[in-house]
Amino acid sequence: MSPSPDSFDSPESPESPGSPEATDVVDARGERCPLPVIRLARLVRDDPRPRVVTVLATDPAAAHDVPAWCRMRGHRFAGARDRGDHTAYDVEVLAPVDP
Amino acid sequence: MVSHDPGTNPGPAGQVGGTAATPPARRLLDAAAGPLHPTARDTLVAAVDAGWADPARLHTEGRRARALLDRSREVVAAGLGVRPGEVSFLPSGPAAISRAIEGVLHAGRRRGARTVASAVEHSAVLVPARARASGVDDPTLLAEVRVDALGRVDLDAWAAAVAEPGTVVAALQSANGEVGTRQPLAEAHEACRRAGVPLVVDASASLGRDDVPGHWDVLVGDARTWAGPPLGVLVVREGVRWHWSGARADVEHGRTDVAPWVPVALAAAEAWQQTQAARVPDTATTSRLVSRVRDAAAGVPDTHVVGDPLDRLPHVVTFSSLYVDGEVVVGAFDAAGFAVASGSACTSSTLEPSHVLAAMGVLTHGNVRVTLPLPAVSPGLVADVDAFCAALSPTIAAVRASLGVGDL
Repeated sequence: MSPSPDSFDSPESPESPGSPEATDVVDARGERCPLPVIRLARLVRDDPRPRVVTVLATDPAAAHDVPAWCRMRGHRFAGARDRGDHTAYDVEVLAPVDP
Repeated sequence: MVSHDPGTNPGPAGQVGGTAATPPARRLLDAAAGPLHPTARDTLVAAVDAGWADPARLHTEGRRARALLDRSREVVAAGLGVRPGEVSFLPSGPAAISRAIEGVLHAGRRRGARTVASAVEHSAVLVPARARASGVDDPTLLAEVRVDALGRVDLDAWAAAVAEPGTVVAALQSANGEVGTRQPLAEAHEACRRAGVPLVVDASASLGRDDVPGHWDVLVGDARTWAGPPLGVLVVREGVRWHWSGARADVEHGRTDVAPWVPVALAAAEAWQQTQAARVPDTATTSRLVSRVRDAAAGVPDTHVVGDPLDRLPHVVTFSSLYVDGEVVVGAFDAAGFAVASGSACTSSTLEPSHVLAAMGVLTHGNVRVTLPLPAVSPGLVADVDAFCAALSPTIAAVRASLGVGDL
């Protein structure tokens, strides 16, 4: 089965206890792939400090492409939350391993 | 960026010379539906005159068409190691896939209605199966078995799924036509046997280009894959319970209601003979070229080469590059003379990306898919692949620069 956002679903907002605290949000709702990933990459390039970045997206490809970006760029995908009309994807930005 | 050898494929017919800007030579790297094998093309043209009649007619012309159709079936049956009575010709590969499953479901309808399929099967498997399940509001009528990151089905999940009560048919491809990964048919078939569930093997991406699968109850192929015309091949192993409710006994052993046009069947059989005569060296050549493309793509920054690097089809390779959309990449390669495909959402009519890439959990945007033609179809294949490998990195870099993402 393809990974669906539901499998990571938790009803809480990102600020609630138990979920990582988001310090940055990329609001890519209504944008087509690959824009959500481009905007995520741009934000992290401009500010590479380790933290959690949340991507808000409506494009179905983001469910596959945000985790794939994390794997390819050495960050950690922390999960997706279905918020009805969009999905929130949490990305744990990690410090680069080698320069 | 691109070398200047002439390329293999003639430009569009009637192309006028002497224009100011000569378009680049065409290099065919998308042979999923490629040109006919040249000998099959000749056969098709000749058969249009010799085999046009309805093979069911009893006059001289009809009997001649019947003899040619019988001969075509014998050639394909011999190539697959089966009896001619087990082979039916259908209008297309996807039509044969759907019919293969319908026939097993109908024959087993008193035992249940459940289908088991890998999550990366052809949409001709998954779309009708989802419709059957949603039509009676019973999602359990279809189990889509997960695959790993290489696209290979999870055998434990497969065995558990086919053993579920009410399962009537299982469908697994011999190899995936988008990413090239081969499936473990022997183990999957054994699990089906233990559960008493017939296995439909969709070999439409592999048949003619890779070894003929040995583990199946119903087998499907598509003559386009071996450089023939569009023609579905449906093989129902003797003794397998299979029945199609719309059968007319006199048409293709009761497995379709549309008799094949004899010239198409004859051209498919000719293409089969031609491709099988050269298959061993052709497979070695294309497999080496696929490795070359995989290596070149792996050298492009932020690019993931998809699928199993070794246990794969000899002629299919796909990769995905971050930050670019598939449509723009296909357009950039096309402008440079290369015909390639893409499984990205932006290149299809829907918002959904390739269900294969999605099920594998790999990047779905920026996808490029190469399906190598046979050397007999593209005599300049080696030069075309060399040129593609050389163009890969600069083309992706140029697309990224044009989209303002070159510095990510």
